[in-house]
Amino acid sequence: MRRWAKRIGLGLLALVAALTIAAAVYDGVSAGGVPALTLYAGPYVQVDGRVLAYRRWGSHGSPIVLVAGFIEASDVWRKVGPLLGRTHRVFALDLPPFGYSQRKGPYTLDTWLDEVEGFDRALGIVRPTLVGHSLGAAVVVGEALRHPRAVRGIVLLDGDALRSGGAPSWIGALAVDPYFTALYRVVTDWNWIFRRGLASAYGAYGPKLTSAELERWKRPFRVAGTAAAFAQMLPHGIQGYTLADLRRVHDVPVLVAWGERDTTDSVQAGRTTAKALRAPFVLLPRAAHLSMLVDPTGVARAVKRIAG
Amino acid sequence: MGAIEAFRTPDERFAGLPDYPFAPHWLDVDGLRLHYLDEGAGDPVLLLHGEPTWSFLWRRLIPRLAGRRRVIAPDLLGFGRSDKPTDSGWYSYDRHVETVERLVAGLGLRRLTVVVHDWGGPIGLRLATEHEECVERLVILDTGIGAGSAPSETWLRFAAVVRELGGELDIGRLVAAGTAQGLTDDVRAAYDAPFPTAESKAGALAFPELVPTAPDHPSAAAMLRVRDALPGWRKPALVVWGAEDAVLPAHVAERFVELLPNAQGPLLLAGASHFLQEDRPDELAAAILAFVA
Repeated sequence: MRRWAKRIGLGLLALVAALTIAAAVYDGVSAGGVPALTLYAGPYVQVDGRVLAYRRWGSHGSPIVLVAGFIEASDVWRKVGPLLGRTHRVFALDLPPFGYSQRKGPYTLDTWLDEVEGFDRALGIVRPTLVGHSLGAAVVVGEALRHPRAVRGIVLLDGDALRSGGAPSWIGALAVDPYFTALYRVVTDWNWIFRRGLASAYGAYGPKLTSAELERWKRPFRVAGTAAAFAQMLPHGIQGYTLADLRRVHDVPVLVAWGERDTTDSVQAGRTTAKALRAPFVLLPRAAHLSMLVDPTGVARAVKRIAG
Repeated sequence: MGAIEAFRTPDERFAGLPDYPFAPHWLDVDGLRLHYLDEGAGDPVLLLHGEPTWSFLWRRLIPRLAGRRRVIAPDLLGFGRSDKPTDSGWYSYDRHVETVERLVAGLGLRRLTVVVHDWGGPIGLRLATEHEECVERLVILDTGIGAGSAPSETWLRFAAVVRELGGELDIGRLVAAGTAQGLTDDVRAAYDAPFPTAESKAGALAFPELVPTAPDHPSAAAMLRVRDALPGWRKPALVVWGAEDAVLPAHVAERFVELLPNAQGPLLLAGASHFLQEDRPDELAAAILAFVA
């Protein structure tokens, strides 16, 4: 547990626990949540029996696929997407069980890699630049290891792509009936939890945490099956690779970019990962963990160093 | 007005088709016999096929939908088990729409979910916009609504092939070419079943000519009226599309979502081409059922 807590920070551990419970509460009070379609109109693509939600920008140029991180919907790319869309075809997908993709496991790194590849095939995306934020960094490294010739290059954003141990088992246990009904009475105001987690992830230059902004983050938790998905996923911990794995990435252009004020994943962790990948390391001065929302111009500029 | 010269495909051509055990139903339309399927109970779902198919197209969806809804699937005149006027000039956009209107009125259908595919789109969308009192929901699959230009380069090639082959047109082969997974021989033969002679294909040969590829085309004004009415159609719509459709590519699906204020989607089905009912019937049925639930 200590390693896990160290990786994502004790504050975030509390956040994850609370979110799992909150998702269970949603499941509990709304009889299994609601279909994603009523929360997010689309577009979607169905690949290998899974319905994946995505967004797209731009109509020409070499393709870029944006992979968001833990509890992030592809909505987090809403500022970067249009900037890159001026010169590239840009796609952002929701990795299950995040965002509005169907809650269908297993929620493992291998499955996420299969989903990214299926997504690319379905949408005719050939040799994309892959950009992974936070947990998404592990996914783009995974693609570079699996199919180095099928990617134009990868960008790791605020994510070191390293794995850590599983979450403490009590988190998953809390999500199971009958506890959540009792917990529903305890977790009466989870706005507080989101506010706290987001304040830290955004840092000093983030947006004002209005109720609309909080709703944006809470909304995906209403998708049917979210609590069960989290309970199933959390024992895997933060999935990723080892530094030795990272050193095996060859023949793929790599760039690592990091919010200078990131306290979720430390700048030092970013430098260590960049070194293992023999990749340039770019610091984004005002940004914390959610760099793509605080410094979209800086992030787009970094991505273009790889995507052209 | 004298009787219209029409071909009636012999019933034995429809014996023993794969996954098509449904009882035939008939409606008289000015002396022509319209065939439709009528399965299940509940709020009705109207399935409208296009070029060059018939109700057989929906066979793998019907049992699943009919578990929860009444499913009505007509064969447009000139297709399937319906009578087929042998003069290509008989067929028009207005006539196809009128036939479907007669069916809806004849059966007293209300609270309809209209599922449209290919040419079923311009027909069903016109039904929805001109008879809003009957239609509650739309499901839009691999179709287009005329803008006075050809849908795509691939469509132009398709139309040229149809024109060149005329009565020699191989319907089963045409359907197979519009799938990603291919068709088995018996399914391909079933698509051919309604069209044993050159004259029986008049309706299928007419459809490409009815697509308004120029602004002054006879269908253009009516179709543009329907398209212009879509932003005012505020009821729920779902757009589902074959990700690999080359005739009507996925960007057409996005256009429908933009046009209809309460549209969901597009849901692109990987491994599916134009005839997504053949390529991904289970996924398509699940999406429709979730939408009408």
